[in-house]
Amino acid sequence: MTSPDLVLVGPYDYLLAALSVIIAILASYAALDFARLVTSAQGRARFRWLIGGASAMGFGIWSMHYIGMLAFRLPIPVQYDWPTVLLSLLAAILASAIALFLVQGLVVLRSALARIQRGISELEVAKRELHRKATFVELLQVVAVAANETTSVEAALKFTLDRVCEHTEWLVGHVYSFSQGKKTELISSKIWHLENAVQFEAFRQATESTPLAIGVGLPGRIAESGKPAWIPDINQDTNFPRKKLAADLGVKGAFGFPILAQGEVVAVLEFFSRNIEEPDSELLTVMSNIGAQLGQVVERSRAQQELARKTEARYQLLVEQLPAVPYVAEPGAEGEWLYVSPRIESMLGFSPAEWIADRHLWFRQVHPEDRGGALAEEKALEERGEAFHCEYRMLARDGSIVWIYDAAALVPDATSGRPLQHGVLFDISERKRAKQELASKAEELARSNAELELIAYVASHDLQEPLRMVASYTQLLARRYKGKLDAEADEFIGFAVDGATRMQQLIQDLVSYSRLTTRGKALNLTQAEVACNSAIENLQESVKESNAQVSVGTLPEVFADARQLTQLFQNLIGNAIKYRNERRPEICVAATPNGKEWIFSVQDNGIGIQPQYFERIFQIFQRLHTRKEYSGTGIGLAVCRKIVERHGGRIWVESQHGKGSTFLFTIPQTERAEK
Amino acid sequence: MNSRTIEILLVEDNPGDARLTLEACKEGSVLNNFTVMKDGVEVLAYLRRQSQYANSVQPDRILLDPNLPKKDGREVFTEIKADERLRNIPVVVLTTSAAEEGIARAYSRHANCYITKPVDLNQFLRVVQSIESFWLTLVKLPSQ
Repeated sequence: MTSPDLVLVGPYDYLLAALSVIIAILASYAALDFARLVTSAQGRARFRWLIGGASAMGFGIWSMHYIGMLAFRLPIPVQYDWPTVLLSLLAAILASAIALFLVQGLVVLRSALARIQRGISELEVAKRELHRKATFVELLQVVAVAANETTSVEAALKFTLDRVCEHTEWLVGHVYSFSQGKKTELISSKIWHLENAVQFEAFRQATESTPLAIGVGLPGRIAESGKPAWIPDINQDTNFPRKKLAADLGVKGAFGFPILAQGEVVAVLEFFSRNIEEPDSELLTVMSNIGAQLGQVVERSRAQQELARKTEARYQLLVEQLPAVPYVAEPGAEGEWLYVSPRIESMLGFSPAEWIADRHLWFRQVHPEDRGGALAEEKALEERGEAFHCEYRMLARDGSIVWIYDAAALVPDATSGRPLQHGVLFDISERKRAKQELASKAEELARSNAELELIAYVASHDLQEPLRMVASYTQLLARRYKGKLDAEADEFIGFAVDGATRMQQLIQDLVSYSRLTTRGKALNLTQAEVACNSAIENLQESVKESNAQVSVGTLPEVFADARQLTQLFQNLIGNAIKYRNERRPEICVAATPNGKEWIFSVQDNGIGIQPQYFERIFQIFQRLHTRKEYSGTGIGLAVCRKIVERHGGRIWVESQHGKGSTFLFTIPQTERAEK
Repeated sequence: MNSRTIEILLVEDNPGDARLTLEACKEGSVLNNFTVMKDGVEVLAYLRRQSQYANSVQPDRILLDPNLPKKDGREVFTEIKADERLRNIPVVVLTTSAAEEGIARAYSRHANCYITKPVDLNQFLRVVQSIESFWLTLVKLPSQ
């Protein structure tokens, strides 16, 4: 409107200018306040504050400008277009609103950003935490796997120390265990993890040479409580004996945990760090778990050891109880002895150590007379691998003789492959003695039998000759002088002859009785029926004479001396016929099984026997009748009993006086299963 | 029936037994002449007509008890049978008990017979007499 080179200058109302400045300050203050209120308000309130704030700020800023403008007194008339003025006011308000909105948004944005950042850092922390946990788990897992696979407790412990120190970057790891049997003292197991072995040498030596009582020191405390423990700064701890040593090495923090097996503390692990460490519950938990894992290892190891010990003990017991002495030696008469059972000491008086130390001992102790045989066998074994069996005498330490049975074979050694003599020695002195005793007893028996035989022979031969003289001449006398001498003489002669004849018979009977044993034959399978029929054959005359009826049932096969069995039947059946009454003799021979034996019976209908004599009749030469009544010497039943007893049975009688008798005897059944 | 006297040489060391045999034979029907010798060595000398027996008569029969002193009856027997001149004389061996049957049986191949001297006299007489009958009536001997 004006030309560019026309410059209008008017006076300045400084009061109005000052007022505009004041309004500006107030407006700014209000604006800032409103901005804060807008950001801090929520929802509807925020909107109201926004409008209110915008209005106030807008008006403030506009009025500042307007009044500032009014301050300029221009020489020309100025007129304000009120619509435009209002419009500018609105514009100001709008601009403020926008500004406020933006500010508020920025603030919100910033706080959101801040939250995000926080979230991110929290995430970082969580990740780190997770990672830490993961490494713990890994540590635990690694230890668990190692614990399961480990061959020894020591290996597992060392492994654990190494892994933990690796994980935690601690300087020292060490294991305390209990001294053998004493559960009141901890001593070093000498299992260490040392970052710097040289540096910690003094510490190590001090630890290894000092036992700790329960309750003393960190390990002592752990052993007592059974729980992990932590010393953040050893310099502050009163219960730490190695304080000085540790402090000198720059150790500050200490940590330990127990290994529990079946609820009992069996060892304590301790760790040292150069930092002051704060107790970490995570680590404590992990360590407790590791402790449990190791505890299982210890338990398992113990169980194995116990089993091994028990097995060893059992084996040892077995070896010592064996009546035999196992041994392992190099083949050859002077081969080195590699093993011999402790029982050798009780057998020969030399300890296993002595046998192993002196390879010539065996040969020296073999009885000189038996050396040849033993050497030959040894040679056969060594050269041809033939199994070694030898009986020989050995001289025990005290000089006594022991009979040995030695059985051995060559077995190639497991590692070297060279053949070794594996054998067993038996003390057969007892057996030999028994055999010798048996032999001498058998000899004695044979001698005794021979003597009996001799007596029997003498009886039968030498006695009979004079007897024959007496009998024959008295008979001759009787013949020649019968009737020529007086009646008394006849009688006397009669008695003499009778006596002689009877004596003859008695001697015959005695001889045959004794011969039942000395001339008894071995028992063989015999048909009893055949024996019985044979006996009846022999009794043909008396059977005919008495018109006896003899019936024989089915008789079994038995182990017997056929001749004696026949004699047995003959005697019994003969008696049955002899001791008959007026009735026709009816005799039954039968056999019935009874458990493991046969019961034979010879039943008759003869004169019978009274009960009080049931036992006496079986005695030698015992008779119930006179010779006049019934002939015989009374040896028949004694012979029967001897025969029956020789066959392993027994004989008895059942009878009714006047009605008849049944003689019964048993013979064991043959065991066909023995075939 | 032979009218000649039968010469019997009885070799028996037991006088009781010798007498019994003699008595038993006496009761027989035949006339027997007995010469009794007690000793194995003497018997052989007699049979061979040696020294004091130069004039001995050869017996028709020999009754021999195997148990003799000095020379065993068995040996005598063997020698008799070995000797050509003596072999043909029948020898009857008299055993005393069944126990000696075993020994006697050993003779059985060469002995002409053997008998057991029974205890019972009557039995003995019967046995002796049956031997008599046997030899005399049934057997033909080679003539001397």
